[in-house]
Amino acid sequence: MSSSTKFLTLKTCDDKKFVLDEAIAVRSQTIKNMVEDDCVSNVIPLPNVDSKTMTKVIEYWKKHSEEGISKDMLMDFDKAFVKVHHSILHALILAANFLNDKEMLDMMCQEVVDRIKGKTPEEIRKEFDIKNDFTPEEEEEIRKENAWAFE
Amino acid sequence: MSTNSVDPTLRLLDHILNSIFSYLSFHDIVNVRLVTKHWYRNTPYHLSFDESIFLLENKHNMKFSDWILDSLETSKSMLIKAEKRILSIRNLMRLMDENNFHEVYFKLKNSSNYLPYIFQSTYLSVLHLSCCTLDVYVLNGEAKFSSLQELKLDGVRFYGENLSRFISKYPCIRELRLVDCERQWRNFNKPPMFIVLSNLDNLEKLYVKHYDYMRSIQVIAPNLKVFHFVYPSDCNNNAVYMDIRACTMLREFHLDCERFPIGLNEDLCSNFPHLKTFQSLRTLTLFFTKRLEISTPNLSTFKYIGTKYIPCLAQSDSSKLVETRIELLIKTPKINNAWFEKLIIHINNFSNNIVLSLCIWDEITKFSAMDNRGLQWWIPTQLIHHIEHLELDMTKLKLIRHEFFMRFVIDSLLNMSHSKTLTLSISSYFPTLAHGSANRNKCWRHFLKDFEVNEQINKDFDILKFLFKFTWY
Repeated sequence: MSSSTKFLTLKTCDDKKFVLDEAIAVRSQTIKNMVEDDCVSNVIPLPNVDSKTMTKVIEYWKKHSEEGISKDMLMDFDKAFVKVHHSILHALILAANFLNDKEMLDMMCQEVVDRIKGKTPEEIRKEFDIKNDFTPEEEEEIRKENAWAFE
Repeated sequence: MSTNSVDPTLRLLDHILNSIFSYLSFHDIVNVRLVTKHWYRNTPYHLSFDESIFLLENKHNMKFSDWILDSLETSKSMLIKAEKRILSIRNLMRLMDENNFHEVYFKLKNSSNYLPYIFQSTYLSVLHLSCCTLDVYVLNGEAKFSSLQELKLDGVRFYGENLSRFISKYPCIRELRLVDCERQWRNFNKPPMFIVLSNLDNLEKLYVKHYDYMRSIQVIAPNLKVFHFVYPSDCNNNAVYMDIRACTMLREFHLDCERFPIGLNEDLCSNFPHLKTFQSLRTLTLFFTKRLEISTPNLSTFKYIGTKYIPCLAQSDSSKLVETRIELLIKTPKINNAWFEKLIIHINNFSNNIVLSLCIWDEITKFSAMDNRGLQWWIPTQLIHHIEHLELDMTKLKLIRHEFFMRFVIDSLLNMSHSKTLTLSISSYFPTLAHGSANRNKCWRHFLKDFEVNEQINKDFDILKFLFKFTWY
């Protein structure tokens, strides 16, 4: 590692601090912009990310920054990485969105897509713990709207 | 960012949801729209434009085009992600050329002025036309358009063979829906309607609904899997000629018409070899005069409701059927010895447990001990062992002189079936008929070891319902 290695301190919303190699942290376009704009003081606050989620994000960043790691190994890692409870999945999506890491965001969104595909509305609600806030009449109305798709 | 802690999904920003939903197929989107209001609001929506506005003056068109352009700019990202869109104007289509949409849904109503522009499109995949005329000019040239996958024509008028020619322009369509398309005429004689669909190798789903007189329909679509044909009736109660022999991959066939189509009537099985082998056809639903229905989902059940039994519909190999139910609504004059003979032959096609349900739905005006050929009534003697349950509804018969006929039907059914149970519904005018049925010295009675009879509680005082349980030797 070169002597010019810089470290950044990221502070999550629950006041936990993560010290991270800048080269890894700038996977986040948000952090990169801050660094480039020279608006980084000692600590970069991440008001929208909690420490539990940040740990996962850093795990992802580090793995994807490893030198010499094969594509297959990364794919296996990604596959395992997204197999989490939907609440963690959502937290990671929000974090990836805030940190502006498009690669990670796309991967997490793809996982949500995979969990939706081929499911009925009720199965989707069950998968994501979503409450049905439609009245039967409203639901019927939407079904009518989409009637041609059901034909 | 919202911090709703009740429902984690609500915390997802709209643009993230949009992004997620943009990866989904249209059918998944349809389900997503029904999950929650928040998701509903974030599903790709259809852009719908009223093309009538383009019938206005040119200067208005220009303004509207500007508006479209502006609207496109502002909603570009959403448009790109939308799975299907409703677009209906040539200007818009030209604008769309700049974008690389993978699927465009075009809906046009009450105007054929812009039809030629549709054919210039090489990316159009779904086309719905309603209430417009297919004139010769739309068929100019031999160009084919292979992008189109779904075509729906509703109330479309055409001359000569333009309909078939029009459809043949889209050799790759997978789904075709023709609803009440009408052939136009230039003289006083209205030409007969016929539909010829040929060389549609990719066609998998076909829906045809027609109210007016149709002479014939011919479908040559070797990969057709689902075919709905709805032809309620025309004033002359004509039967349509149907030729779908080329559709050898048919899995679902729904036929709803007043009269059984000519060409299928006597030889349905030979038209569909798979009806015999069960290799292809999974569902067969037939509606005739609203009283006939046959449904064979996965060919594990067979249900028949009709006024007469159509022998060609009985499968030669019924060993895979788990449940067979045959319901017949019969007019009394039809029930005679010949009718029973036919029924026995037909039911012999099945080898497993059958529920045979007969409902006599009109009153007989006259009945004698002789049938209409002057022959004495006799009880059928051929035994069919696989009728498990008999249901007999004769509640419409209320006159004393009907009793002989009723006894004849009961005796015939029991003698031919030796069924384990009989559910008998009769009018309360015949309080002793049920009990007398089992006690009379009829031939089937000799085979009877024991029986139980329970009178079912019925809310309708005019109707008596009995459940017989028979034990045979």
